[in-house]
Amino acid sequence: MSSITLKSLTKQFGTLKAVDSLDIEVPHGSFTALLGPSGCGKTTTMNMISGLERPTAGEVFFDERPMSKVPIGDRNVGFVFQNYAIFTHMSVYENLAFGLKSQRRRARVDKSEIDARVKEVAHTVGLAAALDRPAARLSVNDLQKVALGRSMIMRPTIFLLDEPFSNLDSAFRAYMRAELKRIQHEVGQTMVYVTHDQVEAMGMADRIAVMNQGELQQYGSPDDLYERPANTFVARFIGSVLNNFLPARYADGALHLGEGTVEVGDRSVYERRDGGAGLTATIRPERVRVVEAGSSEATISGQVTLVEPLGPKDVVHLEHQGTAVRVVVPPDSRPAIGSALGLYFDPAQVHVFDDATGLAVR
Amino acid sequence: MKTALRAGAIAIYGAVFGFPLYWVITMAFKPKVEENPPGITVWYPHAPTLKNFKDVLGISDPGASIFAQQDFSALTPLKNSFLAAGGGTLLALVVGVFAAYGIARFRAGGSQLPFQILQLRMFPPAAVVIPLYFMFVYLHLWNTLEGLIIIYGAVTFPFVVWLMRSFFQDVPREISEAAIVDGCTQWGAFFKAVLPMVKGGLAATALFVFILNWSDYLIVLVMTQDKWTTAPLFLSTMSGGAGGQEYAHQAALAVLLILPPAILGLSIQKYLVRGLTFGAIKR
Repeated sequence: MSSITLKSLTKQFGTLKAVDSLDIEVPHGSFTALLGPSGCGKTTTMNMISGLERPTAGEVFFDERPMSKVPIGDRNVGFVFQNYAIFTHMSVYENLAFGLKSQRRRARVDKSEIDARVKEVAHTVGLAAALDRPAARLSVNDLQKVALGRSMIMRPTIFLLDEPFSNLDSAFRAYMRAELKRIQHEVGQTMVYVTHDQVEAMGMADRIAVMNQGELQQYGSPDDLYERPANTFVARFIGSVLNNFLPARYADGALHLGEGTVEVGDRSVYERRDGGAGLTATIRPERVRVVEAGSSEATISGQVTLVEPLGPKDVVHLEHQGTAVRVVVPPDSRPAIGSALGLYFDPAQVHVFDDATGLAVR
Repeated sequence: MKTALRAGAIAIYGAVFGFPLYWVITMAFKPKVEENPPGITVWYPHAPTLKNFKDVLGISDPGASIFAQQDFSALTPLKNSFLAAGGGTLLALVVGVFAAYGIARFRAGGSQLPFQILQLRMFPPAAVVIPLYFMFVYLHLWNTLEGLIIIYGAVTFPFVVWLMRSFFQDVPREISEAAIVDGCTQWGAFFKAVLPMVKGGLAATALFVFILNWSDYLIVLVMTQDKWTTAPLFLSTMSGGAGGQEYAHQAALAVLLILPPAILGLSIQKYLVRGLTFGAIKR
């Protein structure tokens, strides 16, 4: 097993800072996701861990060992590429055996050992019946399995997966998510997984590093990111239904959101600030409670503009003083468009951010 | 009506391009008397013979014919053609494939290099062949096999670079990166993973370059004399004892000259089609 430590890792392409002084520690045997929109530097980070890209500054450590002088082939990482990088001129068997056959003379693996390991890996990823087929004839789903199998054949201590499921259809993607999690438990090795899909990251990873424009936004467990976002970027990026953002202002021990007020727990963090304006309050659409319009419980009220039925739940879009608010409700209480609803915000679920810095007010 | 017009057009088109081929092939089998009799057009050989081929290949019995005093054997020029065109093609491929990979994968030489290489081909060969003649005389490469191979290689090298560059660009860089992560060196990744993926393109390029070199006339005309004459040049010099053109023998040699590219093309046909349509990955 290996842990990975990134110390002020930086990559500059000309004038563009693709990765800016990144510090992340990935513990032994953990499943860590690098999450962010495209172009945020997550793939570049991955390439620096694998050695395909040389850092401009900073260092990658496997356990305590600096990697900058270690050639790619000696880092013992398994890499799954976004487009799979399957050798289409070979059979599935030859693809899986490629890594073992490419070892330098002193580390050469003999034929029976190669055969045994290819069969073992094929069994793990579910390709045992397809070993003799030419890789050029495989479906996208099977190509994905070959790519996964090829990354495992060298028994790496670190697996790096770059958006491995982005080309799969959604049913097979859900299947492979569970499969990958099972394989990760089976091999028990460190996995780093790059994705732009927060559902994928939330569902699979123990820890998620959210990146934007080359900078680390937040690094923590899926619950941390969902319940305690560090800044507005994370608050917006995480969550399957777009988060609610309401302009807010602090006065007299309470937050004022339009017509409504929310009590705050710790007044001191607000009272240290100059004035009380320039704040944004967020509350998850899943955490808003619908009450009767005009009831004393309602924090604010809004007009229903749209209802999105999603099967197990409905997303109700409302408007409150020019601001869009979304609420997730069970499908049995579908409100009529144009009707008014009262919305109750639990103070414990409201997160406040400073507009000037975008950071959480804590 | 429309199909009739189309069929007619195709027939005319076929006749215009097919007739010369028909004429050359039939001419190659005509005996001397049918070759060019005054006032008569012989549309097909009435007494077909293999004698022309035998003469051209130098395997006819000298005593068997009254015309045998003239030596029509093209064996040496054919051998020269194979050596020069094959050698030139090999040289262009070896240098060009590596250059193309360097340009496609590592942007070697900057963004202008591919165009600069193509510029080498923008001069018509006739414009440079005289200066080349003086250079090669000075370098003692004139009328040598090495000289011919170097020129053929240099002349066709830009085609190799341009064709192979586009084939290499179609191979995702992850292919070589995957091989490197698996423990290959940069060279190993090239030979084991990337090159096999473009073998169709490589075959098409090799054929194209070979045909160019094989059918050259101008360069060999200026750059050689007797000893290293190639078949196309030899063909134009074939004449009878009285100075008349030896049409039947020329036709026989022409047919023989068609064969190597045709055989090569047919044998790699599978790769030619795949080279043009085959993608390395599915998206």
